[in-house]
Amino acid sequence: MNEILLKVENLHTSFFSDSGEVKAVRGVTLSLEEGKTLGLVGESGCGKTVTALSIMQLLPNNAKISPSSRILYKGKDLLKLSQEEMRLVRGREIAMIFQEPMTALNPVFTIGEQIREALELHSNLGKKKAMDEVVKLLELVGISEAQKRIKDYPHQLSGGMRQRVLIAMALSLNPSLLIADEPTTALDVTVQAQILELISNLQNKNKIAIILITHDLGVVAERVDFVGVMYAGAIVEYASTKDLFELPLHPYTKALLDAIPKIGGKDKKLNTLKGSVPPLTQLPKGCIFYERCVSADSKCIQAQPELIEVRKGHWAACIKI
Amino acid sequence: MKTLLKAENIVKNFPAKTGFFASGGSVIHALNGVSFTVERGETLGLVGESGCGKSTLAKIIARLITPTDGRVFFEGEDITHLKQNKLKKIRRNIQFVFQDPHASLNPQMAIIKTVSEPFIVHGLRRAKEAFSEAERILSLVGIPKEMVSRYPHEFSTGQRQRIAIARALALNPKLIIADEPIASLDVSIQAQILNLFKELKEKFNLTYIFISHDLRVIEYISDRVLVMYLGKIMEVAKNSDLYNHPIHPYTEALLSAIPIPDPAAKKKRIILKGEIPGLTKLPSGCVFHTRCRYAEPKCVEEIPALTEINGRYFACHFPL
Amino acid sequence: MFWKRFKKNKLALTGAILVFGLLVIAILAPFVSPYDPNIINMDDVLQAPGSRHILGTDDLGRDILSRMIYGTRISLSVGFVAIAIATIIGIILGSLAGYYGKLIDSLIMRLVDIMLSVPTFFLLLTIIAIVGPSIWIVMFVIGLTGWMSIARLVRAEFLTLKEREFVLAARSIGASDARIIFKHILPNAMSPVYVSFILGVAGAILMESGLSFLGFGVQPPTPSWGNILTAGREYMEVAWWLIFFPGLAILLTCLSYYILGEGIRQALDPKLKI
Repeated sequence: MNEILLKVENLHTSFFSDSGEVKAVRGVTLSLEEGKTLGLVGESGCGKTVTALSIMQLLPNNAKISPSSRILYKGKDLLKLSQEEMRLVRGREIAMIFQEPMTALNPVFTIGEQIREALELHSNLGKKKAMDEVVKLLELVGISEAQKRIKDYPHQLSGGMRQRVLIAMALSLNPSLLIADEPTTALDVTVQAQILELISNLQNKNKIAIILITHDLGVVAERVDFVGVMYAGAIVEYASTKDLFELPLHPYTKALLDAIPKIGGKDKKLNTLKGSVPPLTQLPKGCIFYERCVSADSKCIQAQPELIEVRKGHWAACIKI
Repeated sequence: MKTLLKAENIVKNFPAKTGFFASGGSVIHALNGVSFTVERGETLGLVGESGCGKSTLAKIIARLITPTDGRVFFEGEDITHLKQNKLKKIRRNIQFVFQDPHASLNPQMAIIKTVSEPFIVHGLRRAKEAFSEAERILSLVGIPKEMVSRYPHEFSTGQRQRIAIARALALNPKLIIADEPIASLDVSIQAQILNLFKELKEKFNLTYIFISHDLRVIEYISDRVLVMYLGKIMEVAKNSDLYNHPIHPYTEALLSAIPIPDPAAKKKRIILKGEIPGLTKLPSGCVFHTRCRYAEPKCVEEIPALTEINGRYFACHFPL
Repeated sequence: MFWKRFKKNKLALTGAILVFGLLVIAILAPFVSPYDPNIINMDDVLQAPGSRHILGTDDLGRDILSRMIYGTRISLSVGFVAIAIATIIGIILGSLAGYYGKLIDSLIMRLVDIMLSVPTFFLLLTIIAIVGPSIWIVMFVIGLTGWMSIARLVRAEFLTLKEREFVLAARSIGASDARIIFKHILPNAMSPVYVSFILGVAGAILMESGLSFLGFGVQPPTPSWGNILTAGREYMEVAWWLIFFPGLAILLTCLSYYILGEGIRQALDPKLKI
């Protein structure tokens, strides 16, 4: 058993706007061991990205994390750190890569300069040494002719290359935890396969723990050790990847799995979820999935279901199980 | 079956804008000689990665842009260079569903107006009749009557795509071209829309050209599949043939790159080397040779022609 | 949504109330003004503000308040008509340039450049010197020389909007160019035009006042804020109220239009947090 690296307890994050409070994350609890991969899966607006940004404390100004939440990283509560202390955690301890590699890079600097900046902010390598390090990093993420590439601007690279650059940047300070927010969503399938392979290889080499955020259950099945399925700001099911796909418990997880077309399954009609995600401004008293659930009955509207351990290591938030 | 649409050797070049003082004269080769047919009543799936030209091809067929070279025939009539008046008649028969329903619906128009507009543009019905007809079509795609005077921003993404589909259906077209119609939707909504496409096809005897980058979606919806890479056709085959036994190495790699939602399914994955080349300087010979694991010197020198064997088309010197 | 955001901006709300108040005064001028603005009363020459004449009287004994109330009519109608002309021209030319591009765009935009390089005020003076002063001429000339910024705005909006997919969608159902321009693109391009219209009214009022002050605009005895000022200039040292109140009216009016325009701009801009 490895050591627990990250433990998020009862995370509540809300956004405040003209139209009131939006409860984007409602009581997320999760933990991640060193060197393991946790997948957070769910549809848009389910709170997976906000969970990641809460861990990094990179939320916009109108967002607030509830004071009862705790984010323990190597035993320290990140929410109690000062801004300056948190700045040192970012990059050095926890790094993040984003969905859209173009917007995450500054268009007016060469990629070499941008990675070097990340290096220099946190270490006192000389300029020359730092640049050598940059070349080494780019080679590590599979960019050929790195010596030449460091002088390129982001727009001169393809989407896959840019994502490699961002991964190099994220890894530059040897973090123990990498949060990858839909890292391959903007990429083509063949490039997606390359990037996922790269991330796996780097993980094995550097023993990094990864939180992989995605909407693609296929990616989850292939690349992740544990999965948290999120719906409307809460984790509705949590299990090892094997358990989850073998025996999905929560009706939402089942519905998600049934909604993906499978190769060879042409003649089966896809099962669909009726309706769409309810607004997070007014929450019902009972289960938030009630209106779209096939197995719901009158008991479901009475109280919010708790996440309970149904089988060993397999948690679900549904009273019908 | 009768051929509904035929494309012959379609070529499309765009001038490339390079740098601040653009006059370099370099050209983006978006489509490089694409020929295919669409049979009445079938769904032709168009699949390929970004830059393969699938969207450009769709827009050329719908006559939203004109090709640099080549011809498009619809029901035997050459529509490539039709002028405004005659084109209007063709537009009734070829309709388009766009990828992003946030962008493709006019934000300042109530949806009933958007859906009834085709009738008014073509002078088919008076305003009042057009409205009741639009209402009927909207209810057909699952938008209830009470919601028809709302504006696009009051709907979810999935509902908006339903509205866009209703607009395409309004004129009772023969061919609907859907360009990545579910790419911007969530998984659970994707399934709803895919099923809607299937239902409507049966109900109205439609013919689809369905474009997607997702091979799982293409398999679910299409009868025949056309695989494109860098503005060229790599392979055309019946759905089951293509998925069971790909002939072109690119199809093989594409298929193996699909993540499968089943951790038990361990399979060998072909990781293509390198990146998709740029469209300004296409590779010589077979455009796929830079990434192909079977490539030989011949592939660098000679362009493989689209060949037919047993009703399957492919462009490869060394088919699998 | 717009109204909700707009209401939060107290300054802009004040501007809107002032502008609305001025409109009401202009419309109801015959009912709210205490005297006939053109009645000469030699017994009441140059009266200081007081109970009988709230804002005093001028050298011919006319009631300043009444003249200013009637002046509101002139100033506002010149402002609105002139800018309406400019807006219509601007929208038409801007739409054509933005939608069709290429040669049409070049021609229209060069015309804009040429018009912008001509100093409007002197052009106005020249034209009026040739054809003679009249309130109609002033409206038309301000309108014909003020459309360029609106044309540019509309063109810029069209350039981005015409690439949007809903325009392509309209084309794919067979909609004509005119329908696409007026039904699809224009409604989406209007928000900067509203702002520009409101700000333009303020500019036109200012210009009319300036022209009338110089004697090229509205001719006495028809009252306008500009020519009340001119008339008062000679008696400035003995009767401050002759120039103070019309000046204040011009200042406040323009100011309220500007803050209203700015408020609308902020309320329409979704990126701006209020």
